[in-house]
Amino acid sequence: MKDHQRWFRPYSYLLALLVLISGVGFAQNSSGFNPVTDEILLEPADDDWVMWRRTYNAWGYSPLDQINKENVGDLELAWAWSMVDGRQETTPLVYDGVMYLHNQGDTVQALNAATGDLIWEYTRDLPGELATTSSSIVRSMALGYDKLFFVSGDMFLVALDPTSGQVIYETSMGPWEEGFRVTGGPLVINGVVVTGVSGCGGAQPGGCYITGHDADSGEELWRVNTIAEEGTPEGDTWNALPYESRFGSSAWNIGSYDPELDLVYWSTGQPYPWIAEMSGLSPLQEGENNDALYTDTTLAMRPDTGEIVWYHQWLPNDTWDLDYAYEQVLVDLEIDGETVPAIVAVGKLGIVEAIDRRNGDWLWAVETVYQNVVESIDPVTGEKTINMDSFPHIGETTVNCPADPGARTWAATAYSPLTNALYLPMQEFCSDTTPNPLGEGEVYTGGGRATFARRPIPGSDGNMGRVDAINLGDQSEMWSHRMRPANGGSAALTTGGGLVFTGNLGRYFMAFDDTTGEKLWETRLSNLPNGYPISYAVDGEQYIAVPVGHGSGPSTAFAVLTPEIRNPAGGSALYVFKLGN
Amino acid sequence: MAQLEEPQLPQQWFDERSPLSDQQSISICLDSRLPEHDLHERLAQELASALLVDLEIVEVGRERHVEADYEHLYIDLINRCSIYLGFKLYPGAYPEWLDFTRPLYQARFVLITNQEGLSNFGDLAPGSRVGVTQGTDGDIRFLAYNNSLPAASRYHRLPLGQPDIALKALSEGRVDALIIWEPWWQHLAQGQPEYAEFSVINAPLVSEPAVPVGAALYTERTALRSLVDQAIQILTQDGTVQRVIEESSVPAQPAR
Repeated sequence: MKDHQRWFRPYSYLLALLVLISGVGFAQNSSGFNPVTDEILLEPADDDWVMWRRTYNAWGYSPLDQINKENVGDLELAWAWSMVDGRQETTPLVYDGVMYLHNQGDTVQALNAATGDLIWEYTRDLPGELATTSSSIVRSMALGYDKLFFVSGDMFLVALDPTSGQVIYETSMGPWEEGFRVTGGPLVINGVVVTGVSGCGGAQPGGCYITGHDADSGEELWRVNTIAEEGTPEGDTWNALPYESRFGSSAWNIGSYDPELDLVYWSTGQPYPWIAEMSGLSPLQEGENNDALYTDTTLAMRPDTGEIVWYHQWLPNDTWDLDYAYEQVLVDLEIDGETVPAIVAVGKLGIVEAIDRRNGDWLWAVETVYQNVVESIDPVTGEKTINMDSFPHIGETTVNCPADPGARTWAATAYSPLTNALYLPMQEFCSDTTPNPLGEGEVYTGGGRATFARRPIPGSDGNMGRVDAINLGDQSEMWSHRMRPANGGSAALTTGGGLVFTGNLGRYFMAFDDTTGEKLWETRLSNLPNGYPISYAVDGEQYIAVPVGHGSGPSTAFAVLTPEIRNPAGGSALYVFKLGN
Repeated sequence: MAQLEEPQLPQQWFDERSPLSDQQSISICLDSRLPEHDLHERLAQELASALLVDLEIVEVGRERHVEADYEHLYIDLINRCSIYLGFKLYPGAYPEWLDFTRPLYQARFVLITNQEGLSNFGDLAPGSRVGVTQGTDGDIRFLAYNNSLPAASRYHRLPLGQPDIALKALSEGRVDALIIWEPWWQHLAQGQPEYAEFSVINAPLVSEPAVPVGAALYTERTALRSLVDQAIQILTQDGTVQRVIEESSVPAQPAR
């Protein structure tokens, strides 16, 4: 038994129960497809990668160890595949030797994961306006039972037959015309497809939302607005703004799930508009609270009902676009001799923080990159004291570090049980922030206006990118690899071979020794490793796959700071590596 | 040349002819979501006449009616239209790959009410509920003033997301007064007669100076910008802009 599987093992009784009550068929179907059962979702085979971060705990870790520190230098290209051009932030999924790949514009392909041969292709007929937009991207699909799930650019939860690409059903999740979209993707839990919705920038009351759909029928079972309801204690945290004037809280990414606690953890972004004086959250009214729940918050919910069991807000009244809407890494931490089931999360500030995943109690924090927003963190409660010099005001320019794309972005961190360390792809930069007027209804501008002028951090040596390894046992820095190109949008992958894979804006895809940080291998690709690398195996052969492409905000934000780095505007592709003979 | 923070988009999204390839015509994008659409169409016709070229109107007509959609704007300006009419000319507020013509006209934000006895801004008592279309220039002007007041003297600012929501809030008495782009008010009043009964409160801090409105174009099209600027100047000086505005229902004036 590999270390990574240890925390699943005590729940085998629960697995048996789930199998009995889920009513989902487990037998191989007539087309030879072995359904992805609840048991498989709880403990995927080492060879497979069936959901965003491979396992419910969001480690981004593959236990495969054929490729290791000794031989990673022998990696060679196994095959490559041109993807549909456009923005690309995807995660390939692999199950039983078949790779499922989502492309810009909602083209989904099934490929032979060993050879790259196309098995089937599905292309959605999107409204013309969406066919040429970066809105129709998703960071992951999800496999569950006899279906492959994704959310389309026009906001449909689509269930495909993984053997043919035929649509089994599709269910509208909301009006795309209002700006709603899903940039993350689904997570399948006990027969429920849980999905976070973002893009609620059209001044819609209630903000964004998280939904649960019946995996079998597509029926919506529950919906939780990410802005706390009026008339609740949490709802009274909006500086007396009426409900119709509270905007934001996008659920940009995908959550985690603890089967023992039966809690799904999903996190959110900031209020809109970003500038608090515009949103009305500042100045603070007498007798009011302006934390703006549930923005920049982790919600712990029941996956079958959406009931919010507890919540933890990471950054109240976020006026800098410093989302905390990222992966929630579930690890068990030793604290004062006790094993604490924890969530480790990192927002755009690059501060690694841990909370107790049973109740949301704060545990500890450790800083990484230079930032000037949080002055101090209470060592007991985790409450952050804000440096008000960084607080943007109408008519003024303030310096914020990191800049709005963040020290970390949507590109996920990864955890390795071999080292008990979290690996963070990051970047160092600041911005001069000047609030500018918006157009009517443009409560969310996507950073498009010239509100943020990028600049290096104070005393910068010119290196914009870095990969940090943080020991979660004592919160010490194990190593930090610094580099001229920013990370841009390249997630991390850890493996049982003691390796950490990630990339940078210079089109480099690299492998590091997970213990020392020594760079053991790198290759230069045709475009940015702008997605989620994975590892899988077919017939005993281990592969490393990485999608490349362009177009995300972080990857364009450095045009001014590292002008010598020029990359193609198009050219999305998938590269797959294996050991040479 | 220094790099701009431009959208990075695939070439196949730019599959139509360049709007500058034909020197005998000008293609002008019009946005049907804007309340000044009809005025923009008339101004586009006059611009083409002044330039002695044929006019190709490109109706943007998007279904998505929210968000600052810079990606599509970028595609439109590279691919479909020479210029795009209807941008409020706020210095420094747009991406650096956007450039602008000189203003075609100017309009203003207004403070309006449905309450009697409110003629001047000073008639509004401290603590009054002032609705704003959130984040707009009129809102920002008011914000800067309101935040400069001692806390006890401030107005209760109520941010509202969209012009229609804001006018409804005023109509239902949820705010005492409302700051709104005057063309939006007049446009929506055409479908809601009671909105036309609202009156303007004299509030220079909101309304002055008027906001200039021009056309956007891709920043490298300097020669085109120069030609269009000359045409606007001629149309302004010979009274054409004034005439077209008067024939429209848009509350605006030629730019000074």
